[in-house]
Amino acid sequence: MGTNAYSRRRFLQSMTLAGGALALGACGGGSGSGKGGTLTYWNQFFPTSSSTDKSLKRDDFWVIQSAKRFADANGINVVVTDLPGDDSAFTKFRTAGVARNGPDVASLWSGAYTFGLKSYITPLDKYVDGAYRSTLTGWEVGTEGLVAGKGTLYGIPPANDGIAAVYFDSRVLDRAGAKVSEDTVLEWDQWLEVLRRIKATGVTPLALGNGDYTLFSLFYWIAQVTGGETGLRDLGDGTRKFNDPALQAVVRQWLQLVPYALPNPSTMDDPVAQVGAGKAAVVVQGPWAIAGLRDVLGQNVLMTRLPNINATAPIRDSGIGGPGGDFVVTSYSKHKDEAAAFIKHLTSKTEQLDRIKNHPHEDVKFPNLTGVDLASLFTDPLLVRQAEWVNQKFVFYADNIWPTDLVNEIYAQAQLIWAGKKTPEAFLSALDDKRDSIVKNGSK
Amino acid sequence: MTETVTAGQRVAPGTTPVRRARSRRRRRDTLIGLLSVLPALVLVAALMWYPLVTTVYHGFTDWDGVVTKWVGLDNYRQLFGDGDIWQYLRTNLVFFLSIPVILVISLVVAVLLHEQTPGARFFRSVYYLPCMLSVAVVGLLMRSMFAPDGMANRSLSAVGLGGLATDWLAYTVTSFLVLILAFYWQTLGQGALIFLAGLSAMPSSVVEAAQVDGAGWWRRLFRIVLPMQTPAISYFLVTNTAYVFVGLFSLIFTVTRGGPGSTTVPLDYEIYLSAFQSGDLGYASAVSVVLLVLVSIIAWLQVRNFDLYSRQGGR
Amino acid sequence: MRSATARMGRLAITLALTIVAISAVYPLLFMLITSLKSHGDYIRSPISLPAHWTNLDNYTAMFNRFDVGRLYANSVIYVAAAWLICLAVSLPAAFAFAKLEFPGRRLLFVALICSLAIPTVTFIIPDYVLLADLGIIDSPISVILLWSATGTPGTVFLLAAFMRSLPSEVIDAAAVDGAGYFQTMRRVILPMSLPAIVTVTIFDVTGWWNDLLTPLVFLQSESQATITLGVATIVTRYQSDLPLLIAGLVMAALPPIAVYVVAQRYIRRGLVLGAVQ
Repeated sequence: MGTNAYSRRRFLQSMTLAGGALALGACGGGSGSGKGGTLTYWNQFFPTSSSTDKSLKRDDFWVIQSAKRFADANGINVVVTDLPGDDSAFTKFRTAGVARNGPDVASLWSGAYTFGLKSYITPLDKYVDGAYRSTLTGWEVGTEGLVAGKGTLYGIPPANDGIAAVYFDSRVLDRAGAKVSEDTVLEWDQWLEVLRRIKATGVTPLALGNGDYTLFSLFYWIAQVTGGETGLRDLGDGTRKFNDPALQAVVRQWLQLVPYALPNPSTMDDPVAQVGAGKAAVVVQGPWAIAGLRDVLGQNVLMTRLPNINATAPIRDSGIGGPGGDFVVTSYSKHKDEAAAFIKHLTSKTEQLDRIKNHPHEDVKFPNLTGVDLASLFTDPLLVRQAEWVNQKFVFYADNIWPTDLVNEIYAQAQLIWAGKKTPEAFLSALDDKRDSIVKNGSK
Repeated sequence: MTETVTAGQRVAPGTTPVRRARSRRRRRDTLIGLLSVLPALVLVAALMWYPLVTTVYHGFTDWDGVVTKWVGLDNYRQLFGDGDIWQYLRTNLVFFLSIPVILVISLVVAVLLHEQTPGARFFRSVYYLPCMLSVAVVGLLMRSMFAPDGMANRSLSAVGLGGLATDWLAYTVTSFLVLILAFYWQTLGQGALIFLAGLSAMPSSVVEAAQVDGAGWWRRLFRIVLPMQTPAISYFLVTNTAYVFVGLFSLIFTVTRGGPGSTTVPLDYEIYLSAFQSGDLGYASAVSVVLLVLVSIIAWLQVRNFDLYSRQGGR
Repeated sequence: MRSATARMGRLAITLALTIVAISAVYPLLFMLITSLKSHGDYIRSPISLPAHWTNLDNYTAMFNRFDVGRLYANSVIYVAAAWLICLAVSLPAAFAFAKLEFPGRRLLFVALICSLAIPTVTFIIPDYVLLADLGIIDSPISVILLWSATGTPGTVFLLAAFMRSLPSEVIDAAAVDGAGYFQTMRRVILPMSLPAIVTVTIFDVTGWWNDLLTPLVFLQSESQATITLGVATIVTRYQSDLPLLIAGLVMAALPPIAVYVVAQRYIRRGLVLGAVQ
């Protein structure tokens, strides 16, 4: 109660103690690292740990070694910092950008993800000459507007992630008496027939991980009927509506897969694990799943292109994928020239080939080099075929084309329609609403 | 309990020397009091209130982190205009309404542990374990437990309740059940610890006296133990209220990601999405301001009510 | 008859408490088991027991990948410093709010409590700009300051709530005995508040230890990272080696749990000490 009396001196003593603690905390802090002559790279694209060889040290990985080679050759200190591979990396990059206190070079997701952060990124056009341009493929993914040479260049792709495909457990296919060959692309009815036969053997055919059921399959089929990337862009900027009969039909067909898929993206989100456990026989994934599939199925993996949605679609026998990441130089970097040189080093032919040849334990990422016979770099027939696909025509990831907010809305709404709680019409018009509000608020 | 009331009762007014002593003491109290709270206030003001000022300002702007453009009330118009805010608020409210239940559970468990149930020591150590796990673990665990082929459904089938098995995270209602279960699971340990600390501080003579009187267990709980725990209860309520309005982000992010649809998105998750995914920092600031005003009112009401209550409690 | 009901009731209570206890321990067992599997084992059968209980590959990988000792040391130092600062400012403040009468007491208290209602995502950017201007980004000071500042409202609140229930007579008696502020603090307030201090320490320390967002945003070089931050960088966009990630999570979770278990005795003493007064 309010009658406790103390001498002022005593009080001030205890205050000094509190102040001392503050100072102590500050001392324990150590000094911030100086930035003179140091190039900082925030890496979330290249691995620094391996799921197949756990004896590897951080220094054993390509990105660390390559950075060191650059540092040694140019007499500059390069610091590689790993970021988490999820959205939290964007939080960090954006915050650093607001305060203009972050890395010189960063790897981001390409396309719309990168353009959404362009306030913090330096246009790279003046650092890139024709000679360098001609050595790489995939320039469009870092060019605003997604057409190479027609917009501001913000990002340079470091590699190609490959093309999404369907992977079957071939033993289950044999047991089901379903004939699938690697070279043909299944038409929709054939695809459903294969799934039906597999289901008849008592195995749920499809394991579609968290979000993959939209990311790889629905997005591709939408792209097929709308004419590929142009169509996707039109949907993204409102030139074309989602809610039209063609897309309603696509969504209805897509929903035909529900009875053949494991209920809801399930345990630990790893579809390959579900195939491994014999709970499913088919996954739709990018080539990064091949290592895991080989691990559980050995030689019994059959890979085909994604099925065609219908016979009249303008895009057929293709796939969805491409360079999903890019390198950027920050707008506030004090070493822009060195940063650009570092990116050129990482994407050089020597370095990209070194990554494939000398680092077999790292997730597969196909070099995006012109004039290189990619297929000759690999021995696993699945990777060889993926390497061939990468050099052919494919549709770029829809989630890297559409505004991020729209993609999030699609993920959210897809959960509802996949669970049967929304009609295709309601689903598609919800996407139109979202897109319209993005377009409206974006130009306020 | 309030100091002024007791002070007035204890010191008979009117006698001059006492009054002079009191006023001297009060002045000293004032100085010591202010100096005592100063460091804490400076720390909080610098790192929490100052940003708030800039947030209020940015709420009226279109801000991408680099360019700031004054847009007046546009952000607020957008927020209330499209009506999404009510859905986000609903998520917060569902959690808010679930607090009293976990409050009672925590209290009962704390009292049981305090009364030396066999194994109380072991239980006490173990109950806080879930609170020590990072949300990454909690999310992983909840998703695997409530997957269609997860533990939850298999346990239901095992005890012959297979009919209740469902795809938990595919429906809004069951998603909320899972989320609230996770919330309870992590809060029980916290609540039990708080109330154990409070119970430990309670003079055991009071409880024993009531026991001698032959008061029933529940009667004792509600008439004697609970009123003496009001500061702890008020702490529990206010911190958890704050949690369900501004702390849900990581739980939602790891367990449901706001799904199915966006039916389990709370306001602070929406702030995160608009600030860091869409990069619309002005709009995010406006949402923050709305959230802050809302929670401040609730927190203030809670603090006020509990002060009143303890005054009536006659302590 | 009556004792039979009582015994049944007791049994039911013990049973209920046991179920809750199992659900509290289960995740740890699950994590330990999964962390001993190889990625291949895990893919083949996610829920079976590990093929070899001595397979420590995932832990070896963590040591290969990170300077684990450094990560632990960083976490411990940052948390300890934040704890010192937070208690140093919170104890006097809580005491003043609970036991002293001064103008603006209620207003300041409510303002402090309402600070609990500020979402982290709103102050993270302004604070980053502020600390960048002061040149303490990528320095532990930034994390320590943020943790202690954000921990202060809750800490003051819990301590004040607890101190209000302390009998004023004891404090008055100390004042009559001529004890100064500092002495009263040390001899009377601190020992009597020990249960609350122990409790709030557990809350703050575990919260900070597990915090990912603050270190992620404010620390940049790998040498400054906390263990929680290090573990988070194992996940990549397309693939996550779950057993490896879980081994990391176990490594991040074990030290606080070990300390908690070992410190049980002192925690209990702390909880009991208050009752003796």
